[in-house]
Amino acid sequence: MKKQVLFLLALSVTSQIAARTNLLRSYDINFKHKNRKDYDKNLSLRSVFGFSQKARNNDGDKVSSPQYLFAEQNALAMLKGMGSNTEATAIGQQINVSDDDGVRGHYVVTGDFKTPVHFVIAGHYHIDNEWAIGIHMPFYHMKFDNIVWENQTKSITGDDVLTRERLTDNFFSNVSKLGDNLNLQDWNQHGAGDFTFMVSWSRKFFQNREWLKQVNINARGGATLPIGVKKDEDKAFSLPFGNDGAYSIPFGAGLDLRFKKYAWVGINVTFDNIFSHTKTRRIMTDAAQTNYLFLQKANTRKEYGFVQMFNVYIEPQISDVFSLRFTYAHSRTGDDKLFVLSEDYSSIIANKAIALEESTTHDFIMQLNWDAVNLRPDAWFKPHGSIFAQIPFNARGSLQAGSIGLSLSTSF
Amino acid sequence: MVWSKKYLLALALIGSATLNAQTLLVGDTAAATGDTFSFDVLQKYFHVNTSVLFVGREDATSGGDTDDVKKYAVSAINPGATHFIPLSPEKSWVNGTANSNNPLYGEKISLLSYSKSGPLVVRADAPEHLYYLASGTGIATVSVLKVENVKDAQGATNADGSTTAGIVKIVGTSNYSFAAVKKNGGDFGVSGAGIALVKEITNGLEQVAAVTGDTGVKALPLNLSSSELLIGSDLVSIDASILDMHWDGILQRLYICVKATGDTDSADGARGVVVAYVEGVGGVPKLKFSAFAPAAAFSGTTYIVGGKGSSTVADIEKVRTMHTSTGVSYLVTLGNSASSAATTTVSVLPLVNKKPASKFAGDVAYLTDTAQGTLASKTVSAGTNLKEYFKVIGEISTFIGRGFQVAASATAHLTAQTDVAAQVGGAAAPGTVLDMQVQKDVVYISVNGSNDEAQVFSSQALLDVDGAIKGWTPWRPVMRPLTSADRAYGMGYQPSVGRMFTMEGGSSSTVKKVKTSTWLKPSSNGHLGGTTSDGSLGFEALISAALTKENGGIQGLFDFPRQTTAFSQTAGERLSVMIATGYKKIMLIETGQDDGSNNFTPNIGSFFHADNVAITDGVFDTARTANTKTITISGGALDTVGAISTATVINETSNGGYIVVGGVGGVAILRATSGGLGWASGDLQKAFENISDDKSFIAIGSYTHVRKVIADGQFLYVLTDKTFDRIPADELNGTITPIVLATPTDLGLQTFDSFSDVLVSSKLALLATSKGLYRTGNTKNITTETTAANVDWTVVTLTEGPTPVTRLVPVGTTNLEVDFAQQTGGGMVYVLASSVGEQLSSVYRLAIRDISSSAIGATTVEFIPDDILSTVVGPHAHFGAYKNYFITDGSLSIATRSSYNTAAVLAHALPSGLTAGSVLSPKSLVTIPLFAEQLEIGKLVPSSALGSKIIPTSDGLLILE
Repeated sequence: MKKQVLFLLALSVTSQIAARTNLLRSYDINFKHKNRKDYDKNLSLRSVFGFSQKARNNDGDKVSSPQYLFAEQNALAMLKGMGSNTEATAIGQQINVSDDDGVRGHYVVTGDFKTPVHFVIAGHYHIDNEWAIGIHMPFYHMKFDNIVWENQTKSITGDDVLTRERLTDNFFSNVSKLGDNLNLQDWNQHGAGDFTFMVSWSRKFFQNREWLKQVNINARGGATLPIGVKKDEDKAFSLPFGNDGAYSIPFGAGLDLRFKKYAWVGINVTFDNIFSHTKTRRIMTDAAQTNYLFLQKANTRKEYGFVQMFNVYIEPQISDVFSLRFTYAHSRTGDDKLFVLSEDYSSIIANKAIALEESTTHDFIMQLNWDAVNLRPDAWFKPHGSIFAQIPFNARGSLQAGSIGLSLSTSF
Repeated sequence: MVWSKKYLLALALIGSATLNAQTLLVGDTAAATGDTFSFDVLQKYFHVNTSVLFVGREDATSGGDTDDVKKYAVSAINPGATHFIPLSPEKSWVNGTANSNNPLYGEKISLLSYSKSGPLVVRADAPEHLYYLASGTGIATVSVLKVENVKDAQGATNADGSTTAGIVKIVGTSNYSFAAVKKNGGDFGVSGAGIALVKEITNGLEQVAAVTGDTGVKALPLNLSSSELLIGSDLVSIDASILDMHWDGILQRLYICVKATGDTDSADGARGVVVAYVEGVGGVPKLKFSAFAPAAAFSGTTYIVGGKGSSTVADIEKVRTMHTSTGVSYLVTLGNSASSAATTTVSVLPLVNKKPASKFAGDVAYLTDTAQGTLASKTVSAGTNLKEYFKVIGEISTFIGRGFQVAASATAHLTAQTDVAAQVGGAAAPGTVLDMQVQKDVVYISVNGSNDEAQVFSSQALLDVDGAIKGWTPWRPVMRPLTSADRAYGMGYQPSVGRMFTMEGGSSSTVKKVKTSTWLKPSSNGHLGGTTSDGSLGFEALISAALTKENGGIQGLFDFPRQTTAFSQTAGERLSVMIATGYKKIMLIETGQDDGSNNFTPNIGSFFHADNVAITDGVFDTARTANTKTITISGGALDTVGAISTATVINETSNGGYIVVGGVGGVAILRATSGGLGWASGDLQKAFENISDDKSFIAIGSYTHVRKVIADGQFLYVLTDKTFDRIPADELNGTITPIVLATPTDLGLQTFDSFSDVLVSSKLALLATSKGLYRTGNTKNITTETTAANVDWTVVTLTEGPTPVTRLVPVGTTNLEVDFAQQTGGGMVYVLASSVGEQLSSVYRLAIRDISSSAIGATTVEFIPDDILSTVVGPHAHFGAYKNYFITDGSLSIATRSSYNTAAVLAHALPSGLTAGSVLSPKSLVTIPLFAEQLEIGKLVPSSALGSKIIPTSDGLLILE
């Protein structure tokens, strides 16, 4: 058992709704519905409110949200690797004595990533004591606001002045023109996330040991339908509310142990295999380009990295109806791969984008659960509720939102 | 061998040693301060492939010499090292016997050369013996092989010769050594003298029976009766003191040159060069001679290597070979047959090379072909004489070589001293030539010139559309010894990064200093790094202080040689100038001037003087004196120009000379505030005399983003990123009315396309644009056309590589960059095609014809045949990365780029072996070390006064000197 636990721990990583964020997925195991005898249906509503936003760069340092991948955005690199007859290339060609001195054409971008609120509505139906089916439908509101682009370009060389006059003096307009309407300013979006259908199985094994009284095991699998808001390729700060148009198969398993009546301890792993998806995306055309300044769009097929989510928790039972659950949640999303479906651009270069590289998150989740276990046995419904807080820590190269939330569900 | 461990340790330490510019190298411990050795050295061999310099002790051994002195009798220095390696320890292996007394220990060395893997040596006190240091530069086990009592050319058939009275010249190959030997009891050049052939055997050397049909061990006779040297009657004399030999590994030929005097009849004459080669006869190696050129072809004394007429002296004092970057072979000679200026006449003559033909045919017939390596007909006749060969492999036809195939057989075939293509340097050398080295397209010479002047010079071959030499750049200074009376009696050009070893002394018998130039931000080096005690007074320090890193450093550096038309050409008044430009500021630096003896001498050491001038309001009203070496100007119109990146000097016949600068904010000219005159026409004198106090910088025109200003003749040309204009020089004293010669739309380009560079020479302009290279159309004249349409801009299609062209580098027969198409011989242009967006660069080479007296036509601008495939005349090199500048002197080619994406600035030397048919591998680029603080790197500028190569950066100057 110990080895198995260690193995599961080794598979650790976080459950995100969008790459490089720590927002939990709609079917996150920490909000698993109650499986009650004599009640075959369950409805739940989860509301989550962001209360703090921060980002960590690849060194793990806290940075302003737009800097989670790059400290500076490079406007001259933006011009490279484009078609030879494009205006972008022509402007870049003029800066030909020193095309990147470390400050020319560089911007320090600051701003705030916010997740004001999101909801998840879920419903489950128990076919029998072990099998259930469920659906999960999330709704999100996210934004990047207070975006400021601070130009670092000096005015002491010919290349400096050319860069200013040809590019940065009217930067947003120029980027929009050169980048097929690419918008570098604030982004604010709300809407549906991806819909998930899940089938779950669980079984209880009662124990007659001194401490260990019950072992529950569960397994689940399903499909995610990409109906959520997709990344707006014309808005540099846009994030998708799901898999950005790709179907996926989430699946996982868990083990829960009850020690007398004092506490539950459990471990869960969830995986998400996202299928490749073809759409028009902005691509990197030069290895020095930075994530918000991809001018070139191209039809691409994206192979998503395998998503691994891991939870370990301990849940002391405070009273008959209250318990307090402490969870460490960790996720890892493997490298994505892009296949540029055009002979004009290099997939090798496109895959150098840092945003395609593996990302990780680490969160601490604290939940106060209330369970109406003492409600009269013949009540036609039995509610369950929790308030919780999610506190991110120690991530690399990701946007992180601290949040509090309320979850209500009822079995009937 | 305790000493060897000590030196192994020393070598390990040497590896991390830091070099200073013009570094004095370290020899024996008894050497006086400022010297390398405590004794004289003169004999040397420089091994080009490894850049190792071997030197031999020149003076007699003193009884008081210590072991530390004696073991340096033969020593060597590796490139980049600071300490010589002593190769002559007291004990060594000798002919396979360990711990023997080393015959070279402490000895005076009379001859030094190289064979196979180590130096060939002859001792002064035993000139009949030949030694070979088979261990090369290795010191763990020093192995000496020797053959004693080398035989002369005397003796009956099948009998051995007599022991020579002395070996007078040696040269080696990977298989044999050749020794020019005196007759026993006689001299070289007389009957009984000749060329001995020596080969390595187990534990020794062995002289071979060199004469075909003769089993006697003897030398092959070379004397007054040698048919390869005489014309008509036997020679009257061969000067035994003037002899040189050179082995060419490509041609597999030995060249021997002599000073031969013909007999007195008008039909008599002499030839100064003979060709030798080794041929296996019955499995035995035999030495054979070929006539370099047929006697019957000679007429008169103008044909360099030989002449006909009473008492003609064919005086060829040094001989080398050249294989150009296009793969064509030449003989380089010092001397002539004109009985005049033999020690200053450096010439090239085409050679027959049948090796490519053999390679094509898959045989080795060229090895025994008597025409191989002999004088070729100077009539190029591409396809007939100068042929190129391609090997068909499947569907690909790859270049395998090029060479002259027709041996000279008639007078019309002979290269004459008056042929422009033959005149290295375009004129006599600036002094008696002391040493000569050929590297790729360049001939280097060290000379015995006037005190204070540069003493090492180079001249670059100009190549034509067929790959043959069509002319030469003038002799350009390379370096000057720190001590004004010193000369470089030996030198070694290190091709990897362009450093130069020099063996310096006040006379040939007082050479105790061996130095090397190196790339560095020099300080306290006595040249451009200030005095030997104070670097802050130097050229580099003063410019760095004026054009600070905080303001972008040195954004342009421009050299104006003493031949600049706006400068006085009167002896005693001449000067040369550099202009360094930066943010709202320029600095004029006098880099050379005539001394009291009217010798033009480079300025070195301290460029600081209390009379240097700093002008802050753009007005030249601050007093200058004869001591003024620098003038720093800011303020006035220079504030409007802002970042100044280009400068030129123009001379208008009536209104005088002007300095014109350009940059981001436009163009400014130094002229009189009232009346607009410049300094007196053609009369800027040393110490900037003649710039009157009424001058100030004044903005002209309404330009922005000026890329370049050029002065050619009576026109000023202004190139911005969007326009190319011509301004008549006679308008520079007032309001200008520019004639627009090109805009992107005029060329059919898009409005967002741009210009990067332009060259103008006479009627021809070459325009570098973001969409390729354009030239003036056929029959058009850039000096007279009044509209862009009339210029008829014509695309010069680059066959491969990136489309944008960013830099154009002209090379011509004068020191002025506008002369590449208007002097006899024409010139060449290097074209850097470089795409910022694609991160790629390539360099192409163009052959430009002289159009000074003809119209521009289809053959005015043509590609030099840098073939790789038969179907494509490709670039000279693909770099595989972006480069912002390219510059070459014909032997050292450097491509640079500013810092990029956290990578440091780069200066890369192209591999020295890059020639037609070879492909540049980026891995073969040699990095020239820079300093970490630089962000931007500019165009390398050779100093026309001193020869130092200077790279401006955003943080000071990187200099090779």
